[in-house]
Amino acid sequence: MTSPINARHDLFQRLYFDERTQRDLIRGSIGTPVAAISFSVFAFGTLVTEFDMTQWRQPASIFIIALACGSIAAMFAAIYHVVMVEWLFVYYEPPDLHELLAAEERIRAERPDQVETQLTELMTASYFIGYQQYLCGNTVSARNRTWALRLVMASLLQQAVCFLLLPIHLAGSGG
Amino acid sequence: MRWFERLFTRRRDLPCFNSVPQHVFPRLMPVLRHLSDDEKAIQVRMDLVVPPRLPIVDEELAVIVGPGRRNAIQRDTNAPDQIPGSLSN
Repeated sequence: MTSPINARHDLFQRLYFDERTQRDLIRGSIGTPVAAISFSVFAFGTLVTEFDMTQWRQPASIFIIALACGSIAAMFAAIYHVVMVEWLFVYYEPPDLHELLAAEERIRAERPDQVETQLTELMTASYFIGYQQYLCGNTVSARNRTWALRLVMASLLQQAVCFLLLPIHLAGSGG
Repeated sequence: MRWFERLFTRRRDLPCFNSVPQHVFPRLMPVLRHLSDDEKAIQVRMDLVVPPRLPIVDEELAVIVGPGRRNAIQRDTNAPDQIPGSLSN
C-alpha cells in the first residue's frame, strides 16, 4: 500500500508535469487563431479592392463599412489576446541537484532520522508550488486563447456578411 | 571565432544565462516575491527543515534565476546591472 507521503509526491509530480504539457498544448493551439487572422487580413485586401468608395452613401455600402470596422476591431482585439497568451509567462523548474544535495546535508544535520521523508516532502512541495503557478498561468493563457478564437470568428463572420453584401453594393454602383 | 561559436551554440556561459539585467527586475520582482512567499508558507505547512527553492526561467528574456540569485535580487533592490554567479547560485 502506498504511504501518504508517496501518494502526495506521486500526485503532485504527475499534476506538475501535466500542467507543463498543458502549457505547451496551449502554446501550440494559438496557431489556429493566428492562421485565421492571416486569412482575415488577406480577405480585407480583397474587400478593399472591390469596394467602390464613391458609392459610400448607399445603405449596403454603409452597412459594409460598419461591418468592416467591427471586423477590424475584433481582429485587433484577437491579436491582443494572442499576444497575451504568451505574455509574462515564467517557467518553474524543480530544485536542481546542488539544491537537493545542500538540503540533504542540512536535513542530515538537523533531523537525521527523517532524511528520506523530508527529501520526498521537499520534492512534493516543489512540484506543488510549480503546479500551482502553472495552473494560474495556464488558466489565464487558456482564457486569452479562447477569446482570441471567439474574436477571430466574430471578425470572419462580419467579413463574410460584407462579402455577401458586396454584390448589392456593386450593383448599386453599376460595377 | 568565439563570436561565431556563440552564434550557433546555446551554452551555460552565454551572457544571458550568467547575468540578470536590471531592466528585467520590475518584470520579475512580483514573480520572485510571490514564489518566495509560497515557499515559506509551504515550509511551515509541511514542517520542512529546508524550504523548496525553485529556479525560474523567463523564456521571453532568456533569463534563468536560481534561488541564490533570486535572493540577491530581492535583497538588494538597487542591485547592479549584472549579478554574477553560476546558474545554481
